[in-house]
Amino acid sequence: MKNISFTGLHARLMLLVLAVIVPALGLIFYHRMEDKNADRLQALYDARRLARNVSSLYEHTIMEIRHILFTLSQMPQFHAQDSAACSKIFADLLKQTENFSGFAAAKPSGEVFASAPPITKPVSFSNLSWFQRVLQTRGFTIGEYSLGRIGDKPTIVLGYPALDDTAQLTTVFAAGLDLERLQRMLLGVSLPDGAILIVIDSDGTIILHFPDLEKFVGNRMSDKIIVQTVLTQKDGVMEEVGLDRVPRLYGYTTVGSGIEAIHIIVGIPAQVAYADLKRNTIRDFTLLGLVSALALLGAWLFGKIFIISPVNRLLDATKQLAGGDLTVRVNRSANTGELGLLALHFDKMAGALQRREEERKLATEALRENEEKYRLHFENISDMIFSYDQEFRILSVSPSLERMLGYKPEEFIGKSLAELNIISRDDLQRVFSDATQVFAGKNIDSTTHEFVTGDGARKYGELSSAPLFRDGRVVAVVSVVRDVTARKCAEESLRLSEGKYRALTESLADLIYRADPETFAATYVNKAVERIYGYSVDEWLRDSSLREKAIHPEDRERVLAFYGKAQKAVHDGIAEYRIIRRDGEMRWISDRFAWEKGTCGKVVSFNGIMSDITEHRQAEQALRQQREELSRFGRLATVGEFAASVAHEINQPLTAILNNAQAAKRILSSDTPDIDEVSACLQDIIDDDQRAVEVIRHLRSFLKRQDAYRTIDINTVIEEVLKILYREIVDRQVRVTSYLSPDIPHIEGRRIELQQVLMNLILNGCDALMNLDPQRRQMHIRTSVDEPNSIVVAVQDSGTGLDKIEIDRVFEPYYTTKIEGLGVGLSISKSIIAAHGGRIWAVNNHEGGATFYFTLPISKEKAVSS
Amino acid sequence: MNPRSVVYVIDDDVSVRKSLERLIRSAELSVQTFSSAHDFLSRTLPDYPGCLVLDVKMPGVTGLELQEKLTEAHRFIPIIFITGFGNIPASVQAMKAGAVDFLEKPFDDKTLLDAIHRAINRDIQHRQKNTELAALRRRSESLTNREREVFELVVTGMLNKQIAFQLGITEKTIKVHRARIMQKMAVQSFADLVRLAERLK
Repeated sequence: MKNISFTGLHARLMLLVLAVIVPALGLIFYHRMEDKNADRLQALYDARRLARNVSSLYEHTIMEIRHILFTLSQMPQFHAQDSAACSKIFADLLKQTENFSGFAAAKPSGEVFASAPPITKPVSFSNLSWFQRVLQTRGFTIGEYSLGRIGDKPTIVLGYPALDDTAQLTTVFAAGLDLERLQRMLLGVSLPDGAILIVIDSDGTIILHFPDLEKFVGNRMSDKIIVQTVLTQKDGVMEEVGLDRVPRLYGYTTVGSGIEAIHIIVGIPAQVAYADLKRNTIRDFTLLGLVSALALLGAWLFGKIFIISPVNRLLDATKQLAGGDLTVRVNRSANTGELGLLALHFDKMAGALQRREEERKLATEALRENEEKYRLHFENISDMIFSYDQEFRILSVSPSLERMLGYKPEEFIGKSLAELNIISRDDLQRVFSDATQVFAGKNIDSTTHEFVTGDGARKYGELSSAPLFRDGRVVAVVSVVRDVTARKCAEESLRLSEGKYRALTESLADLIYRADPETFAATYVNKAVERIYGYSVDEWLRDSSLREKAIHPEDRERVLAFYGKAQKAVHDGIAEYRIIRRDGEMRWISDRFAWEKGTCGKVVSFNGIMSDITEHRQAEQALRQQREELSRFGRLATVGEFAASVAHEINQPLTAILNNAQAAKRILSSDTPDIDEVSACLQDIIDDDQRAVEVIRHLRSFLKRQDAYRTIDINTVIEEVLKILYREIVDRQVRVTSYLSPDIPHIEGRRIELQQVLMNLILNGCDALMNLDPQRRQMHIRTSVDEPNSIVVAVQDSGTGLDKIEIDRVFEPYYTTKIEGLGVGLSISKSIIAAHGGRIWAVNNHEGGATFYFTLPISKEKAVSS
Repeated sequence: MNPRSVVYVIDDDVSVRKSLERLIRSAELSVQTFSSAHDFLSRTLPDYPGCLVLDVKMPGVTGLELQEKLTEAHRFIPIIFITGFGNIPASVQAMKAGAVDFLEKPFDDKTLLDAIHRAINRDIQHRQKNTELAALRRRSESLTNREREVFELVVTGMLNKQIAFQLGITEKTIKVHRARIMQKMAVQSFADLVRLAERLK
């Protein structure tokens, strides 16, 4: 506190306060000037207004006097110039009015013949100027100031002539106006304090002066500036130092003209005019002074409490901190405002410094420990560390040198890398060129080189080098060599086996791919992509959209949805769909895909194998078509629809025939049979019969039309039928075994018809097995050469067999043992086999069940050739 | 047998149609044949009693559909259906809709001709009933309003006295009305009158 001086914060605060006060001071001055000007104008205006008011009063008074004098001039006593009577009237008049000092009447010669107060000796006005002017103008005249010609009071004489009937001037009246009374009258106009009223006549003589009339009246003042101005300007205002040396504001005006002119001046003292102004100025400055004093005091106290003392505390703390005491704190509780924040941050800074100091101590400690540790590491590390200078001379080397290359560190120190011969000749050049780069300030990481050990063995080392700077200059290179011989060997064997698998995958006909599990962009694909899609491996890997684009437009939506679903659920699966190859050909592919998960369970790859299944599909398609064709025919032949259609076709002509026959019979039984009608009946019967025959022929040719005779291998037909019936056989859980003679001769036959026969036999056999347990449902199909010219086919079941009657009748039309059967299957089979020139029959097996046989003649050419 | 009766045969098969025509004609019945239902419907038929021999299965409008159409048009004509093979649901439907017979082709001549006679008789009866009813209607329409009022009350079994009271006329007037009604409706007894009223309903 003692150290505070005005150059400090306090003085600056004071200056700040003053900086606020000075403009206020200036403002007050300015306003005062403005007010003064207004007050001055107001005072000048007031003065002139007063002057004009006084002039009005004066004029009024003169008018009254003129009336009195006119009245006197009309009185007969004055015409008669009766001295005693006139004096008496004057005396009465004087008694009644106070304003006059006296009255007189004179003859035109100037001789006074009556007066009041009475004159003691003869008086003549003849040489007086006003009298001369009355004689001259024969009108009312105001005389100059005179003292005591009538009475002894300051007086102004007013003259008026009296004329007789012939307009001859007979008498001149004189009225002496008491100036003191006039002044009192004029002062009916109230003047402000200290104001003066001056009336002067045309030659500058003071007629009236208020106050101090006695002192100034009668003085001629024409040499004064005021008087001169008034005499010339007649009406106006001015500010001047007055006759009494007092500064005043004047207003003046003039009544009358010429020699009779009267000038009225009113002066208001400047002191009076500016009284309010002065008072207000004093009050304002006093207030300003007080406020300034208070403000300075407030600033002083505020600065002391809120600024100086916290700053001092901060200052003290800083001094302590500078002295090395890091524990010092300001501890300001209210940490608001800049000073609060300053204190807070000071504390933080001190805290940080303290912490850093502690950390530094710990770090130094740790550094020492580390140094110890690193030294231990350096000595025990398996990697070899060494440094060398610009000349490639070894500066230091770790003890691991011995383990890695079989040298002692002492052998190396000071020797050049080139002479040491530890790096194979092929790699040495590269090491040196790398080293020059390191000397240029670069780091070289993990370059693998071949090293030579002391006993001549080869080792692989991974070399990393870094520059060692001193004073911004590279002075040495530090290198670390890691023995990677084992890894190198492993890599090589891996590469070999990888190459093996690669060769394998590349040689596959199926497409193998790996792809990004999010975008499906291929990351690997084997060469098969060329065969299946027509794109090269490079093209496929470059354009990830090819896979999607190649999907057949009709399949695209379904396939993409399928993949999308599998992707969401991470489900492995198989997708079969069509693609359009690059050359526009459509292929069917089957994609067996799987999601590969990484060690942490995340899907890392989308892998799959695509096979071209086009041929497979086409075969399937062909089979399906064949089956449909057969079943269509089979359905027509076996199911009632065909029978119904045939029945209707034949029924119609039969009905007509019967109707006609019955009609004919009726006609013939009548008394007069119409033979023509009977003949017509018979003709119709013939026609209808032919029609029926036609229907049957048509039916035969329809059955024939389906199939033409060809050279056939019966084994193939059996295999086809088993393929067609695969589903039915599986559904019925029947085990079918075929023993097909491999060198069975070909036969001539209709393939579909023979298929039909076999289907009937197999399905009948299956039906016969349905009552058995599934494991006992067995069926054997055999083919063999029977007689020299025919083959035999046997369909054997393990069912219940047929009874005696069934064996005989089973091939008859409409004979059936099955509830839902129509009984045409076997009869049609029989007719088919018969048409082929073969036989069909059934026998019961000894071991149970029945066997159906049929024979077919061997094809002529084949029979001959075999 | 009414000589003025017609058998209409509809069958799409020309030989069946022809043989049927011949058979029916041999039984001394007049026959008209049509090859389709449409053909039959487009022809104006004479106002004679008759019947229809109709094949069930025909291209275009089938026999059953024709039966439906005739019913919808309020054309009453007995129908004998003939069919190639017995179809139970179809025959049930046909019989329900008022067919006289349902014959399976081929059929015995007697079976067909008996069926035809039965059908024609039925048509004749139906026509007679219709004619009588028409006459009856005409007669009942010849009654005056007052007579009709009396008629309607009489047949309910009310006594003359009651009727007179209800209508506000004398019993004697009622008696006069009753006599007039009996005369106009051409009945001899009160019982006949009640029966007539039943039929008119």
